[in-house]
Amino acid sequence: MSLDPPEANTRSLTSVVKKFILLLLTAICTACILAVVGYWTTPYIQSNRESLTQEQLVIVQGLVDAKLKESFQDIPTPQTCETQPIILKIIERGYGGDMEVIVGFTGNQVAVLRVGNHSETPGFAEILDPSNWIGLFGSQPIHEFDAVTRTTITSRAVLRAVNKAITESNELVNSCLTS
Amino acid sequence: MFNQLVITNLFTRNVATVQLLGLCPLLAMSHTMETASLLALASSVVLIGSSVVVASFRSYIPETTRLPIFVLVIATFVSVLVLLIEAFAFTLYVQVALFLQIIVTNCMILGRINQQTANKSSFRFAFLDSVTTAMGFSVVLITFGGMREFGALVLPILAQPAGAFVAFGLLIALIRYNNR
Repeated sequence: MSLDPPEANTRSLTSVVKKFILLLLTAICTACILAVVGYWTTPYIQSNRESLTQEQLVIVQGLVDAKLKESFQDIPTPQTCETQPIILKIIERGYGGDMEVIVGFTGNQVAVLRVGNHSETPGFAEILDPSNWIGLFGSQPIHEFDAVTRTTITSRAVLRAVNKAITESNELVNSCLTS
Repeated sequence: MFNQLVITNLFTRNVATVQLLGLCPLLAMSHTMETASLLALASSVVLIGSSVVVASFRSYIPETTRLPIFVLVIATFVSVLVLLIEAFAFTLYVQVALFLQIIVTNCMILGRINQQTANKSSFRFAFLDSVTTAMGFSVVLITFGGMREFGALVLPILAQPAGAFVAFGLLIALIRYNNR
């Protein structure tokens, strides 16, 4: 049973309410600041992300065209369903968030792979560099690829994206053949 | 006062090499001078900004609600900084994204602000203290980044986390020996 006088309890309650209001006001102020800065920077951030995606698409297009020329030894060949260049962008969930995987096909063969916007951990995302693991796609059979140690989730996300892209490209090639 | 603070925060009580605070970003992002410089700049902006804001409103913040309010202020500064870097320095943002965001948890910043508040530091002292602390942290971070980047040409292990730990340990030992 409390022996404190009622006035002390009221003062204590008032103090708690004051602290709550102070915390609430601080949270509201900080949220407003973030909302303003977020609103102002959103168009710039969107534009940066789109530029990165576009840049990777152009790179993949160039590499796919180069592979086709190499395959036919620079002799111009009429495009067939099996040799048409296909570029697909697949969004897959990686470790830190969504990841854009851009897959270039010559017909239904994976020719090149690049990653656009992603949120993978710096350092661990080294495997997404074209000079690293991701650069091997197109030069080795797909079934030889497996997850990479210490970047399991990131590498598996890439492999899932590649599998989805292969399914989609097969559908495109088949619909081309049957049309 | 400023000279005294410079000597204390850069050498005798350096936040990274003597107090051993804020070592996570220091070891994680010091593999090149470029990333180390960006992280040093980001940490400095957050530290000085948060310090100034907290020092301005110190008398209105009760002791029991200090920590949540400090964390809110620090988190706001970090979030604003991340948005600005993502908007206007996207190439650099891609290299250091996650480590910018975890500046919120950098114990150097919270520890410094808490210390200034506990000592009832004036606005001017808090500002100078945070500037010199940021200078001390930045010098260590950039120097260590340079050591790792160029040292890795001779000793490749310096580019790896294990090498970073050993190299930093040796750096601390050297500074402690010098300070005694």
